[in-house]
Amino acid sequence: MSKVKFLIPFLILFIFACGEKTEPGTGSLELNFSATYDGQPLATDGTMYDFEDGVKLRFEEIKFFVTEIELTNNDGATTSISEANLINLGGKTATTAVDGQSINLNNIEAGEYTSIKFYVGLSERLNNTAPSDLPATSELNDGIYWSDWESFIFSTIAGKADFDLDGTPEQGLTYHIGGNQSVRSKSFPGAIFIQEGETPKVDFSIDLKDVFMPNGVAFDIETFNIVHKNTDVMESLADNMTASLTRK
Amino acid sequence: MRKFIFKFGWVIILLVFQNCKECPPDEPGGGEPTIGDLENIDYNPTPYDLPQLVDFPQMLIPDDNPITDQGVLLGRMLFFDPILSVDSSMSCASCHLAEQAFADGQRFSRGVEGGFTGRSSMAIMNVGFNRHGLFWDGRSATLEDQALLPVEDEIELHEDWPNVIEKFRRHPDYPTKFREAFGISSKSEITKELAAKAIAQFERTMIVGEGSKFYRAQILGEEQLSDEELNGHLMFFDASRGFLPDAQCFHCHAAPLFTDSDFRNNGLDSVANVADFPDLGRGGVTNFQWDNGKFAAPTLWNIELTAPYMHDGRFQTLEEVIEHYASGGHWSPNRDALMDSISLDAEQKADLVAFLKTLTDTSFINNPAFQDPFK
Ligand code: HEC
Ligand code: HEC
Repeated sequence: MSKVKFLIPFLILFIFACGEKTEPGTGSLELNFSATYDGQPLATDGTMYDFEDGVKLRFEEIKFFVTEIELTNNDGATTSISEANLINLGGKTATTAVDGQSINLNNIEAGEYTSIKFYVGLSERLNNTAPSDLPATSELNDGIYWSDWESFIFSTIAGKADFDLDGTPEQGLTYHIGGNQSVRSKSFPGAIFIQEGETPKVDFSIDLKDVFMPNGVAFDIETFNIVHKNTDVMESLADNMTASLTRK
Repeated sequence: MRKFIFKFGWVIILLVFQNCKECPPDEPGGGEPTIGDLENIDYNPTPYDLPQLVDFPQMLIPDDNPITDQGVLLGRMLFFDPILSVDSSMSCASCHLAEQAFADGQRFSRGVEGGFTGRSSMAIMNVGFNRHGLFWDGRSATLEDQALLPVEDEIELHEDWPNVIEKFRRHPDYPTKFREAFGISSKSEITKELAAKAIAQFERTMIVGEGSKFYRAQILGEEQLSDEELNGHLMFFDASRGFLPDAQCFHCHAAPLFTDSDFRNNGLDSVANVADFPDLGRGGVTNFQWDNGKFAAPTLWNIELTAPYMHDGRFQTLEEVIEHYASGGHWSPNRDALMDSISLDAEQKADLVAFLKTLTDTSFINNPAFQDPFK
């Protein structure tokens, strides 16, 4: 019997060897993104949200790329942990919106980090890569490239507005943001400990009310309801999205 | 003693390792010699030279199913062989015809016993680039998964896989072809999974675009579009800078694949409530009600050849399709935000159709590598 017991560690070792390979001295990190409207979990299932003057909004698509994610340690040294991830916060009810979307990053050098930084949108380096040069495994392939812009679509927000206040939203809203001028980077301070066998979680949240009504000033959605060319509007939305994205 | 246990431990580990491998499938009856009966046939798979079109993404090919000449040939045979159906009357190619860019020209397709499919057959082109799942509702994640389904579908081929495998094992040619493609050492190792892998390999080679006017003119810059085609192009891509209406097509049919990674409602049905769609589409897969009535935006390559159009084949002509988009389609709560009426005059509508026809690539449908290998 004791012989059999002795073998158990071997078997366990073997089973683990079959699974994902993690290198010694490294750990994992989970990044979770979720969306809210005025602090409440944002459902993309037809739920209407109050905008200004009785106008109501509904959101159907919320997607954005986060790229070149890196951690910074006390000495200011940075460690790259991921190149590109597509965050898709659509397909949610008020209940499931809380779960958001997680990305799991592995093989991160163990250590004590003081902040996490990434681009909302594609860094210029990535955006200047032709889609045909991307490795087939790149998550950028899940996005869309517009050759007229020479850019990927960095983020998409789509939905509808009820301007005539009849309870039925009649105006489609589609915001496609891209072009090198629209990328933003943001650093989120706060300790992150990476250690072998552990997967700490860092939560981010984006508030759509803050995107469309920053500091209580409403964005002119009536004039700008389909946006994919107006660079000024794209840039201001990129600013608002980045400002509204916070670490919890 | 320690030493003994240590050695013994390795034996166990090796045993476990053996278990990791797939168990050999049940051997067929008849008492034929089955072990190693194919080992005298050469197994020298040669990598298939997949064309890389300018501006096209790189295809994601599963590590466990690299494309080889031998696999593609086997897949092509299986695709065209009625051996896959219950009465040997139909093959994949019965509903996916080369001359229609591998769609079939019908609203709904007639299956092996006379019943009709619930949706219109889909053209098989550039499916190797698909990243959102196959079928109108994206329910099959990979080509390998998809290829398993038609055989046992009650409407489509209504056969069952164990029977088909038996037919392969008795066949004069297939055991050799499976050996050459996958290196199996005996007939008993032929499985439905290998058959599906071969079909998937063949489908990944079905890349369309190179022979089209669009590719020559807009990607290679070797030719000019006519004025009508160019106007259509500008409206399709919303690139006229204001002198033509924006048709917004490119949002959902983005070049160079002319499709989208999402599922959308383009206003085909008028319903008051998302629960009322006659075909739930994507919602039937995700069980998220707001996805009801949403479908994949199919590729528009060779669209001239794949009528009738939409998941239920409701439109016979491209002119009808353009009328539909010009009207903005029918209202439903989750009709896509981009679907709105577009004011297009008769000439502009004709220009859009002219542009769509620049996506016709007859070199694809006539490619000898995609034709029936039994003819
Ligand atoms: C009876 C007609 C019929 C037969 C036989 C048939 N198909 Fe299809 N095929 C269809 C229809 C209809 C659809 C769309 C169904 C849906 O979306 O629900 C389809 C869809 C597909 C698609 C998805 C394409 C895309 O872009 O998503 C592939 C791939 C495909 N078929 C391959 C095959 C293969 C391989 C076989 C043989 C093993 C086969 N089909 C046999 C009718 C048929
Ligand atoms: C909101 C996204 C969207 C926009 C904008 C859009 N389409 Fe589509 N398209 C779709 C979807 C989704 C389908 C499939 C719908 C179905 O069958 O339920 C489709 C189907 C089609 C088909 C039929 C394809 C086939 O194989 O049956 C054609 C042709 C087409 N679209 C052309 C166009 C043109 C031309 C425009 C611009 C005037 C356009 N589309 C704009 C989403 C869109």
